[in-house]
Amino acid sequence: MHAGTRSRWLLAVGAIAVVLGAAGCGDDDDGGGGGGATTGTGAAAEAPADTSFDQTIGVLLPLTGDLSPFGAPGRKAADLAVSQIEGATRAGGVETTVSIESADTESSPQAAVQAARQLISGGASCLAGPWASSETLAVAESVASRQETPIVSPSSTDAAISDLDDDGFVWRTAPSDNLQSRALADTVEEELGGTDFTLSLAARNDAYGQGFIDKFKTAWEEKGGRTTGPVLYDPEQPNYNSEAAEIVRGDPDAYVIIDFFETYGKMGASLVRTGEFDAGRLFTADGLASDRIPDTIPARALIGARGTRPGTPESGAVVEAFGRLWREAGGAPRQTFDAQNFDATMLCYLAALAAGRADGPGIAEQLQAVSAPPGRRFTFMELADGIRMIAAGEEVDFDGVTGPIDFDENGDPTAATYEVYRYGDDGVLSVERQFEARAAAE
Amino acid sequence: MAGGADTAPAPASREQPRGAAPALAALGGSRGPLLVTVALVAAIALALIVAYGLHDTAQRAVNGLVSGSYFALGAVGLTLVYGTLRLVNFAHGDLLTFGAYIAFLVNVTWGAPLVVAVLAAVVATAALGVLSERVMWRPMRGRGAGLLQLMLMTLGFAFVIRYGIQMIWGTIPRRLDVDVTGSISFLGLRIGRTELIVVVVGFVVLCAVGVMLRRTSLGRQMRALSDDMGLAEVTGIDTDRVVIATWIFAAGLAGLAGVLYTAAIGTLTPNLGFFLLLSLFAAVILGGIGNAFGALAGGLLLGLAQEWSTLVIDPRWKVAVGFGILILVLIVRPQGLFGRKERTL
Amino acid sequence: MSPVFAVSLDALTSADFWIGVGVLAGTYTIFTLGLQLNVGFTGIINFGQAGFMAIGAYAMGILVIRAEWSLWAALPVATLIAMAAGVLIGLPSLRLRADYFAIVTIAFAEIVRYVAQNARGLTGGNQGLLGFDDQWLDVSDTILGWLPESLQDQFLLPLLIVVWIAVAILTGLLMLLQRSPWGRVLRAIREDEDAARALGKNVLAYKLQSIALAAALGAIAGYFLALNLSFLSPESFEPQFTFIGFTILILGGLASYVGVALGSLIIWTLLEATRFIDLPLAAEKVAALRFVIVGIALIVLVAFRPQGIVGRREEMVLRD
Repeated sequence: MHAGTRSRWLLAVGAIAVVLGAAGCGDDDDGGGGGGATTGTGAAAEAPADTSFDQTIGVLLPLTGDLSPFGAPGRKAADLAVSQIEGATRAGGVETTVSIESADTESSPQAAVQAARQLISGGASCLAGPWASSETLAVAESVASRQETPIVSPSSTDAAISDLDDDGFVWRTAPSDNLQSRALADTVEEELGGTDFTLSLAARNDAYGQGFIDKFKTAWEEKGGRTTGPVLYDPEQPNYNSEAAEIVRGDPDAYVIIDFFETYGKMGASLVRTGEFDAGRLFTADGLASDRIPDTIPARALIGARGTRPGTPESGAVVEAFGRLWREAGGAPRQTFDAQNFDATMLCYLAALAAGRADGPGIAEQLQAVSAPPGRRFTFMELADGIRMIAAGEEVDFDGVTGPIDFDENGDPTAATYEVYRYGDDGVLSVERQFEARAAAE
Repeated sequence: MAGGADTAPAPASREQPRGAAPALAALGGSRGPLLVTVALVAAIALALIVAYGLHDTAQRAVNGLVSGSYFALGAVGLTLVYGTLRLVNFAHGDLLTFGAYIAFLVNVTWGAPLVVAVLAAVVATAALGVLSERVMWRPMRGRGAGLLQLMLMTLGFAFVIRYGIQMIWGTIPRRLDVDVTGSISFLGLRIGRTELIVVVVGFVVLCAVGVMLRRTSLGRQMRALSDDMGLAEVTGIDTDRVVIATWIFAAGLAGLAGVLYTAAIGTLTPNLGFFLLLSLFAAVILGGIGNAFGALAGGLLLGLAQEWSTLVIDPRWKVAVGFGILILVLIVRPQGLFGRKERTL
Repeated sequence: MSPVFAVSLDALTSADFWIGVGVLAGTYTIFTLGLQLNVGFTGIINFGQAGFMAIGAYAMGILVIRAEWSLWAALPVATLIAMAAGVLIGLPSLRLRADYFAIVTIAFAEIVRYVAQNARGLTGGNQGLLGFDDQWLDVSDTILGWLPESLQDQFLLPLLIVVWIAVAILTGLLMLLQRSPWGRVLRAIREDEDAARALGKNVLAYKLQSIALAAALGAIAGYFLALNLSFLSPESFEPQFTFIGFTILILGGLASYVGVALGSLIIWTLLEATRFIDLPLAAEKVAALRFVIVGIALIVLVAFRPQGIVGRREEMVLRD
């Protein structure tokens, strides 16, 4: 049993090493790191304790997987936010430093949880992201409240997120699908000129698609309209011809399809092949919104399609300034939710400044305060002034590129700007109009 | 595990019916199962027509024919390798992916016409198959490697191919330079232009493979090896050469299947072969493992079954139909439609 | 590039990282013990272990959330359900050749995962299940309270401790089983099934028991996975995890329990650490590289050192 005894010894050594490692490295936290600090109590801290902390903001990005088209622009947005902050801190009279660590969530809930944990153990005190609703649900449950680190998602729109029992650690700069599905229903009504129509519904089989289409169906039927479906399809199917036939059956007045690009490349091709599909009658949402139709989607599957997406207000100095900033930086082109990630990163910093320290519970307490009234309003264009005000202990109300934000108790923005867009014959997305949606007071 | 062999004669398994058409004879003369299958399919078709109408049933049958084509192409390769080498190649699906990406490289990145890309894919995948034989399978056989070892190596190989492709091309879906939206209509049914090409090419290639197996000396040798490798060696067949030939065909067909699948469906991702793999196993086992025509029949039947099932159940469950068939066949009739029972225990 | 590099160093020296690795390693040790029982001691090639893991974990989650059972009641019942599934799958298919059986088990595991993805009402579909671990969290907090002050912010530590206690207990039980007459019969079946049958042993019954036990082990691993993430989703049960299990098994040696634990620690340290390697490659390529390495490791191991680190060569090599 030579091998047996030797291996037993090895195991013992290994086990001791793990336990020692766990005990010994326990106080390895960086200065500004999360997780280890004492929890804050009670009321919002108005008096600044310290204006010279170091903060690490963790950025959870879908660099691979279904949402990968949003990853690189999302990263760019976070970087832009940090560079703006760095540029303004001196003028604002504080000595904070901010850095970004990013991690790939692989567009998967499990990987997102592990990525979040590792960012936090690397010292992040606030996380911008994750992006997919399914990822946010997972991270919220396993990481955010347990490790007392706030997350601010730029794009998770699933309605269930509002109701999470998260101790105030889950926030988002993207509005809930409760709002968007209703907004889309209103838009369809407006575009079609009434509700006495039959809509064929379809969606991808996941948290985003299912949740959205169910709420849309409710909203449309409440208006007195009719629906068929929803046809739910899996991203991994070998083909979609039968589902496509189901969707176009009966020549519906319009279709509402909720999906992401990766799967729609296949579904769209099947739809066009039925010979009965008219993209001009298609309505969709943010998952299929991109500045131009990607190469992997057959153009005829989207040209003429309309939809809604959370957007940025149409005009205004802030929006133009952001657009300029983006262009000058080069690199990835604009993409849906980029501005939302910019705002999320900003808020992580501003809340930390208001708390006077870069620590999770402190930031979580201040997020609503810095984003909503009462307070002096400012945007990133007046960032130095805003910083100075916060450092002086004044109340502020940060308005993002995406709008006033104004978080409510659930961590949702109470006001959201939606854009109605359409894909033109050249495959380019153009925004036709905007409207603001306000969440009904709960 | 060879114990307990059931020596009850399988129906007409080794007879070569005289005067029968080559195709029937190539099935091992098992006319019985073939007729039963055809009758069963016809019965199901009738039932569906009555319940759902001729148009829907026929349209789904057309869809089933399309997916059946690439199932069949992939399955034939898988069964050839198993038949000759008794190797369950879990990397076979990733050979399809490999072929698809080579075609992408040649067609889109280098701008060559699709035909050239298809040829390149077939050649490159065949080369990969031969390489794997030379570098991995032959040395392992020489060392007396067991079943588990070989299967695990195919799994490792599958990982290497799949994630290697992902490293080079990323996970973003790509598209071949083909027309995925054009469709033609005949008799009130629709089929995509490219889908039709897939069916035709698949059919022609499979017939050619069938003829090769039946009529050429190489084909006979492959079948001899697949019956009993030791005996084949003793009778003077150059087993090494035949094994290499088997890999060339199997991997080449896999590459072709990958390209055709991509052309039909429109986009490719590194996971495409893996998603198809279990369906390929289902087709192979349905048809009778080791039997090339069985794989063809199995592939077509699987495609039909999946598409017809969407009439009856929610389309989301379509893929589970394939798995269900697999398990059902293995439990009820493990030798599949056209295989031999002694092989399965 | 340097911020990324800094993270990689920090992460590797932080307790959080090692505790996370430890929990995963423990979970997959239990998982792989099931594989070892089947493959190493009975000669059955079970490629569906991820499916049993899923059945156990989801049964537990469904009982707690949909049927509102207590977690402690759900655990044993879910284990029984997984064992029943093992028997159900094994009954008709264990008489088949080893490689056919392997295919059946993979198909079974994929069906389970597919059902988990699509039976939204029951399993939450791709959205997953949340909120089943409240009772565990209470226990975890209590355990945390017993620890010294400096460790009290390491909230995964209780799970780490419990996982490895479970590993120790299960290993001990398996060792006892192996040395018992029952275990000897299993060994005999693996060496020569016909001989065992000729001696009057009901080979099928023994094999079924082996599968059922492996399923139980898979289910237990599933619980730890679920408690680790506080979240159940179908993608945690993809076939690649069974194959990682096999890599661990081969690495550690088919016949050595300690080898399984060691192998699991090594593999998971590698897999988790490589999330932060700073290479001149884009992040997604690094993600892919990790699995290429697993694949190569599996091939090389199987080809050149099938007995793993700790095993003996004669133990390996399952022939047909």
